Formats: sequence, structure tokens, C-alpha cells
Amino acid sequence: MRARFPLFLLCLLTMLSSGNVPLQAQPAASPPTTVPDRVAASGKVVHALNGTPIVGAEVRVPNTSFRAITDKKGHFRLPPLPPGRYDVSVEAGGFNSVLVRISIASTARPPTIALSPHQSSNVKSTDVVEVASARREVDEPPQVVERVLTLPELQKVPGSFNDAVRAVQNLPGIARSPIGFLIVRGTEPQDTGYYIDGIRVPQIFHFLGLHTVVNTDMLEQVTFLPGNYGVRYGRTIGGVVDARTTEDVPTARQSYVGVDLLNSVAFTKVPINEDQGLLLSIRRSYADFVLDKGLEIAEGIRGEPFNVGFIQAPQYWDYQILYNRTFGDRHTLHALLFGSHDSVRAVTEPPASVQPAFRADGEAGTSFSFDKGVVRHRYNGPILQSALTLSFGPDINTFSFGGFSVAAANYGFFMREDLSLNFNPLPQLGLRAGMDGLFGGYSFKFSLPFDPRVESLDPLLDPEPYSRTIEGSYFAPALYLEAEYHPFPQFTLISGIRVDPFVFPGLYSTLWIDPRLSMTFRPLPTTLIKASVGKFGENPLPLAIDPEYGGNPDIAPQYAIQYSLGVEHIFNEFLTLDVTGFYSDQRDLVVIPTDETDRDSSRPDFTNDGLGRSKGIEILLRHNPHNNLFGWLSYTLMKAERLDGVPAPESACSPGIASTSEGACWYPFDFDQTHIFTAVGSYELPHGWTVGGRFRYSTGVPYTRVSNAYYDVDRNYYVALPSLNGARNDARIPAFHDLTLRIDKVTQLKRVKLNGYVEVINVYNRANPESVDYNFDYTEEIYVTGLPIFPNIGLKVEF
Amino acid sequence: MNVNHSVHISLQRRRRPRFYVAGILVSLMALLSACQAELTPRTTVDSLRILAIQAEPPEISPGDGSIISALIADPLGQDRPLDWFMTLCTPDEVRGGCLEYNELLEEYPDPDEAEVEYARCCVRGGTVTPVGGVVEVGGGITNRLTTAESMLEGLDETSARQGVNAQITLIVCVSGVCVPEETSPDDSAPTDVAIELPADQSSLAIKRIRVASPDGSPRNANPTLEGLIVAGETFAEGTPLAVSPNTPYTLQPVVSADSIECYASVKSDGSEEYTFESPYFSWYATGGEFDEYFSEPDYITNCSDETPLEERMQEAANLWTSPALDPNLAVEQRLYLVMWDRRGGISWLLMDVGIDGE
Repeated sequence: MRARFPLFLLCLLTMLSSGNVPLQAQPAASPPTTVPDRVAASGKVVHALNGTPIVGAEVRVPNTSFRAITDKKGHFRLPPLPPGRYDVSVEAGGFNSVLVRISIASTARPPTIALSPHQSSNVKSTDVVEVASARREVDEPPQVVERVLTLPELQKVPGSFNDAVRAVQNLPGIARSPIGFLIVRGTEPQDTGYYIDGIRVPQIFHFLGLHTVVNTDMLEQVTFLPGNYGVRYGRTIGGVVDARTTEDVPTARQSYVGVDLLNSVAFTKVPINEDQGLLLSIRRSYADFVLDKGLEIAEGIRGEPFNVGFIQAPQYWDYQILYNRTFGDRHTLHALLFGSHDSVRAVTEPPASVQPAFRADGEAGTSFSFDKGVVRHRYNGPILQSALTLSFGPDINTFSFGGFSVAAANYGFFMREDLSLNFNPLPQLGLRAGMDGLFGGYSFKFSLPFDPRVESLDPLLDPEPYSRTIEGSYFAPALYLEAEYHPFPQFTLISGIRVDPFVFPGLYSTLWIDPRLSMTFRPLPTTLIKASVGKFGENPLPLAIDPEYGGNPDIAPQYAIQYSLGVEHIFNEFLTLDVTGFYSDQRDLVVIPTDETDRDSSRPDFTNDGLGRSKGIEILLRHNPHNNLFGWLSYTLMKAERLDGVPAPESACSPGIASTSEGACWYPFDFDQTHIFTAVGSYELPHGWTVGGRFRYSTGVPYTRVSNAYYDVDRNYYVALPSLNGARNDARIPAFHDLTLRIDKVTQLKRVKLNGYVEVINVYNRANPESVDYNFDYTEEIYVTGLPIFPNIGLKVEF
Repeated sequence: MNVNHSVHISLQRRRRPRFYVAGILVSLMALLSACQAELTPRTTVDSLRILAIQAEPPEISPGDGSIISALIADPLGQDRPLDWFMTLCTPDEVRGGCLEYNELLEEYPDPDEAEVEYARCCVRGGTVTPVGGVVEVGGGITNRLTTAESMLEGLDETSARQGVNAQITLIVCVSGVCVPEETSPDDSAPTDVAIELPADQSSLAIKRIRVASPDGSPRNANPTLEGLIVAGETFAEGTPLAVSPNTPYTLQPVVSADSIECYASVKSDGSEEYTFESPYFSWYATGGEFDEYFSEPDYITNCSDETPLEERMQEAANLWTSPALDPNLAVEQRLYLVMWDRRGGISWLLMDVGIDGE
């Protein structure tokens, strides 16, 4: 759990140097030879977890006599220095030392420097610098419910595959998903927004969630917002994952090559000069080959096949090219070119429940890819701070199965401008405004081996393949305004409003307004109470509105009213507790009425008849790095339900499932998991050894029991019949649990650092059911199980 | 899955082309769950099961009739009597399917008028005793469907030539276990029928009959399965086979010369394209294992192609491994072969197989 920084004190964002810089490095820039008037450098040092002042911290410019000690309010004041940028070291008892780059100028605002609680002596100072390098957007306020990931230690979390961002999957509020989706607080996977450098990307993880689409070492922080976030984010009713690449200019060359059983990665960062630098990374997986062969070997040992849920694992690769440059004290340029490509292909016989007519070759495949360029200019003035971000790039997804294929492409231009003004007449008041605009085109092409409009006896006999393309453009310039008010130091009130127009020219236009309100109150220095309520709207997809293809142009944006109430408590310098209750009331959800309910032929395929509600409690007990131990316990108690607005007799509702006054039944959300528990821990041993483990437990997801099936003679397949009373998701697969263990060893060989690790996923080889499979006529059912025991071995060579 | 189930015997509803969403989801699930290691294969017949329904002829003009027959296997039944229920429904709004009572009330507030419309979907039933666990053509479940002369009214010429479907729903139950119930909400409304279907003692299937305008071109005809070539020797239907236990045999269907027809396919622009049918075969047995659960002959579309039928049929062969001798397994087994011409035409044959233990 990361601290809430009082935003009005964040006058200059903490600029921490990159990880390979020794703590006693020289100042980044020598004082100018032409010395103008000297400026007294002042600032404040605070606790990184709770924002409380740190008394007695030593702030000094290395290799000079310039030093200062913070007072009881955490303030420091260095002797007057010539204007320029300086690396300043900050040390305090019980805290990790940091090296901070600050600007000293007559117009610069005093910096606030955050210190993390002390880590173990085994942790290198370079790691500490990375940990504390979290940077907020332009005077971005703290989120009421946020979980900021500090990256380096998370790379060693068991089950991470050396990917720190995967730790998001172990946080409260997220249901476990076998294929890597993030199911946040009972919303659909597509209802959670994934951002890289503030721009929306279609996915944050590669297929199956094996790795993040951006190398962890390109990132300076990842923020997970399960709900009730600020108005800077919009067009989503679920959560937000925001990964931010570093804006620091590297000060020394650093490279590594990492190899494990699933993928290989190469990374380098190169300073061009003191003002600009370059970071490069490329990764390529071979998970398909390894998992396939591993399964084959395991089946050979076992003597019988596993009924695992994959045929061939995915291939993926990604790349990032990052260029950072500073222009004087106030301007920075950040340019990122990155892309991610996933594909899954399987050649197999069709399942027994598929009719013989699917005889093309049984080949199935899907791919997801995007390539984007991002340019950001940041201006940090005394009155105005601005971050202008521009991005362009295509997202292309394809799917094929036999003669069926779907190709969806999105060519989007993105523009974001975040502004913060500091001319407030009231010192207790802060104002922020911004816009994030989406402009672009889309195409959605689907092909079938038959014409679905013709009721053929055997659809694949039809001589006319069917192919249609939906094309169009969209325009969505959203504006937001946010005010932050501190009537007294312990209390913060943040209110914001976001206006979201969304236009598909010639087809559809809508506009919705999302007001949001949050408050935090700190009755004790170690205790924070937080509450929030807000509206979160989400635009419909083109497919749902185009009447030519069954869409409904009258469809409204779906939205959620989210409530959260929580408390954070800091027990000591390493142990924190965060308990948050939430309720999400989802309305106007876009649904497709099922055949069972489609009694009215005039009813469109897509309607706003869906309702959703999810409620629960999230608990995160975190042990920050201390005494060689790091880890957390995460528990979510949640109930998520849906209602498709389908009239049904009250008797149709399964026992324990509520009905509305109209008699329709609430049913469990497809990914509803009542209990989700994760325990993660790692312990550092002498001589560079680290051991760790992760245990996960989650309630099985619901599914609709098949009670019978009828045989379609002409098409030669069976059609499942759910219970006639309309009960949906009336059964659950058994619970999931597994244990992962990991051992790391770090060895320094002159200029080369070796980091080897072994992690074993699913140590006790639990056959975890992931879904239900049926025989040809649905009279037998079995569970499709997930990954059996899987050892992963990796080596990272840094030089 | 052993849940008693109540099924309204009118199954077909109006459908919309939601293929783009449903197709993706179904296919993705299929992709992710394709391992069938522990499930009974569809080729194994071990319970009461409708294997095929034949309409003779399979394609008719409005006002014409068709004879309905069914191939039903009941290997556990030992010739026990079966109850059957069949609905014969004419299309609704040229899309086919039975009308639901509630839907009718919305369209026809006057119950009398609704009753008239509802009468278009009729229910028949009876009891039949299979012979040797099989009911087939002439064996009992035989009905005649006569379609309305107005079925194609309102269609343009091309659509009328392409035709619409009338639907048959067939339910077969062990005698006495399926009880029809009237489910109408009040006395003034026409009666809807629901049937309790106990699992493992019932089977439910639908079949369509293509109803198209008479345009002068030949109507589709059912193919004819004449026998099997087993290990190079031809066996006519009805000829018992004797096989060794746990031994692989190559089985090749023998069809009549006119079973793979050349027909005119009507395109959406009204043009015609002549092409051969592309039939396939489904294989079933009470014991043993098949290599493939379906097979198909060499796929040729060009009607002027003169490849001999026998040569094409070699591709349709399948490998069957006879069951091992087992005290719990009857030495008399049965093979079922069903042929689909993909245009509604169906044919089948049965072969009794004796497992020779010597």
C-alpha cells in the first residue's frame, strides 16, 4: 500500500536516479560557471507510506559541505546554491537513503522527498532508489482506493516469472482468471481500462497473463485502481491498471539478458549525454513449445493424458524503445515506441460436441497485437504544470476457427492534456483540469463459410461464404475538472466532474457526465479513513449500435455507481493494513437477449436491459521489506450478480438467488468468486539467496448446469438445454488452490551480476478445474483442468 | 447429469444472426477445451438414442407430404416398448418453427384466432416395440407430414426456390416414463404440451424438411446405403458379420450409384451452380472403437468429373477395432452407419456383428 501524499506539497515531483547509480554519485550537473544569484533550496521530507513529516533527516549535496537537517515539520533549507540541478542525498534513521535530483531556481517550488521505511541490509541501495521512484502525473491527487506497486521486490514474488506487474493479479478485488484477464470487482474483463503512459491499450498482459506487454524495467510504477478513481480516468465501469514508463534520463549504461523456460528478454539503457538517454527492450516467448513438450513429458510419466485447458500455448513478443530528454529545468520530452504481439494456434480435431461439418481442418487460432508511438512533453512551471501526451497506433485482433474468422482493427489517435494551476486564491484549494481525446477509425470484418441469413439444412453446405465489414470512425474528446480542498490538514475533499462525449459520425452520438466525490480523513498520524462515491460511464462498442448488423442505435452508455469506504492503518514502519468495503451498482449494461427469452422478434439484438451489482470487502495486510522479509496477505470477500431484465416466474429463481419485483432472477456473475485469498512472501538469506512462496485460494466460478440436450439431426450435433426455469449459473466448479515456491540467487562476478532463479508453479500438482467440458450429447461432464506442476528456471545476466 | 427435465416440444424459435458473438465464444471454448480423454465417444451407442430421422422425400413442394422415419437404438432395452411423441410444424412467417403460446397471445389477443394459428403445430404420439433394440423404416415410427400450400407466400422468387424449412421434433421414451402435461395458464387458451424427460430413458431430436417452390429441377432424394466392404469383402445390409476380438477392420460404405447427386444450387442473386453433393458418414457401434467418428468420400464438386464412385468411396473408409472378449460384454454387437447428403437426405444401415472368440 502506497502512501497518500498531500498533493499541495508536491510542488516538484521527486526525481530519483535510475537503479545503477551509487548513492554517493556526483551531482548530475555542476553548478554553472556563470554564477547568477544564489537561491536557498528548501523542501520537505516525508514518510513514503503515510506522508507524515520525518524529523532529523539529513539532506546534503554529496562531496560538498552543503547539508541540512529537517525540522519537526520535516522541512529543510540548504544554504544558497547557484541555480541548477543537483543530486541530493537524503538519509534518516529507519529509512532507506535516496538520491534525489532537484532543481534549484528562483521560480522552482520546494520539493517534497519521500523516504521508504528501512529495508534489510541485503538490499542494495540501487534497489531502494527504484522503489521510491514513484512519480505522479501533473499534481495528480492521491486516489482514494489505489494500490501502487513498487517494482523491484515484486520481480522476486513467486509466480511472477520475473515480471513485477503480474503481482497485480494477487491484489484484493481481482478475481482469478485462468487466461489472464483482470476481473475487477465483478465487472467484465473489457470493463477494466489498461493504460501505458496514460494512454489506453487493449491489453496489459500477454495471453494467459504470463507476462506484461512492457518490460518491468522500463516502468517506474504501476498503479492498480479497483474503483472510485479520479476523473482523469474514464470510459470504463471497472478498474484501472496504469503502467508508467520511466521518465528518468539514464546516468550510466546498463544491460542485461534474461532467459527462462517461457521467454527471453534483452534490455539496455544508454545515456546519450546528461540530458538525454535511451532504453531498449525486446522479448520473445517460446511458451508454446515448452508447455507443449512439458505436457507431453508429464503425460508420459503419468501414463495418461491430462485434461488441460490448452492445446498449444501462446507465442508472444514485445518491444519498447524509449527516449527521454530534458530541456532545462522545466521541460522534458518522453518518446516511447512499443508494441505487443500474441498468437495462439492449434491444429486439432474438433471437440466431440462440434458437428462433423466443421471439417475444414480443425485449425483454430487467435492473435492480438498493437503497436503504438507515444510522445509526451511535460512542462513544470511555478504556476502551470502541463503534460501533453500524443499517441497513435493500430490494435489488430483476429480470430479464426475452421472457416470462421473475425478481424477487428482500431486505428486510434489519442491526445491527453493534464493541467494543474497554482494561482489559487485559497491556499487550501487545488485545481486540476484536463482532456483526454480519442479520435480514430475502426473496422470489424467477419467471415463465415455460409450465409447465416439462409436457413440451410447444413450451414456448411451453402455455396456462398458470407463476409461483412463494419467500418467507421469515432470521436471522443472528454474534459475533466477536479478540485481538491483541505479545510484542515487532516481532511481532504476531492470533487471532480468528467464530461464524456462519444460520437460515431453518422451513426451514433452520446454524452454522459460523471461526477465523483472522495474524502480522506486522518484522525491519527497512522490511520486514514477514506470514502468515495462516483459515477463511471462506458461507451458502447460499434458492434452493439450498428443496426445493419443487429445493433441498436438507441442504446445508452452503460454506467456504474461505485461506493467505497475504507481505512488504512500503519502498525509500524513495515506493517500496514488496508480494509476497503465496496459496492458497485451497474446499470444499463449492454446485453444480448438469449434465444430462451427472445420472444419478441422486434427486439434488437443488443439492449440496455442488463443490471449488475457487486459488493465486498478487500483486505490487504502488507509487510514491507523489513528484517529480510517481504510479502502480503490479500483477501477478498465478494458477491457479484447480474440481471438481464428477463421476465421469469419467481419460482425460476434458484434457491438463495433473489428475484426482483418483476420476478426476474439475479444470477451469479460469470466470474463471481466468493473468497479470494492470496499469501505472498519472500525472505532474504545471506549470500544473495532469497526464498519465497505464494499460496492462492479462490472459490470456483459458476456455470449453468446442462440438464438435457436435443439432437439436431440435419446438422449432426447436440444442442444443450439449460434448465427450463431459466436459472443461470446455478452450479460452481470446485475451488482453486495452488502453491508456488521460488528460490533466487544473486552473484556478483566483477562487472557481471548473475541472478538465477527456480520457481515451481503448482507444487503439489493440484488438478485445478477451470471449466466444464461435456461429451457429445451432454450426458457426461468433466472438468478441464489448469496447468499441472510446472518448474520454471531462469537466469538474468546484468552487465 | 441425471436430472429429470421438462421440455416443451416446440424447440425452434426465431433466431437472429448472432453468429459473430456466439460463434466466437463457442469456438474459443472449443479451442480451450478440446481434450476429450475421459468422455464417452459419440461413436459408442450404450443407451437409448435417436441416431437419425429420415424424411421421404427430403425436399417437397408446398402442399406435398413426406413420410417420417427414425433410427433409434436402444441397446439396453431388450425390445422394451417405447413411447414416442412427434410435432409436425409448418413454418411461422416463413422462418419455420412452432409457435409458443405466450408469443401467440401477444400477436393474437383474441384466443379464438390464436387457437386457429396454434393448430398449425400438431402433436402425435404412440407406442412402438423395437425389434432387436432398433426401430427403423417400416418398424413403427412412421408419420406423414403434409405442408400447407401457403408456405412460400410472400417470398420472392429466389427465396422461394431456395426454400424454407418445416421442422419435426421427435421424443422417444421408455414406455410409461414420459408423461405429457397440459400447461396452458387458463381454460380459454389453446393447450401447450410439456413432457417430463427422465435422463437416460429418453431421447430428443429435431429434423427439418426443405419446402421449396417447384422450379422444374429435380428434387433432392435420399441416398441409399447398400452395404459395407469389410476387409475387402462386400456385405449387404442384414448380412451378419463375424469378427475376431480386438482386431482392427477397415470398413468402407457401399452406396448406390445415384446416391451422390448433381444438383443446382441457387445463389442469392438467383443464378444456379451445378455441383455434386458432398456427403459424409457417421459411424456408431455398441462395442469397439472407431478411428474417426465420421468419414467422407473424395470431395469433388464438378459434375462433369468422371472419377468412378468406387474410387471416391475409398476415402470414406474407417477403421474399427472390434471389442475384446469380456464376460460383461455381449458377443453380439451392432454397427450403425448413417449417411448425410448435407441437403436433408439421409440413409442408414445396420450390421449385426458376432465376436468370434476362437
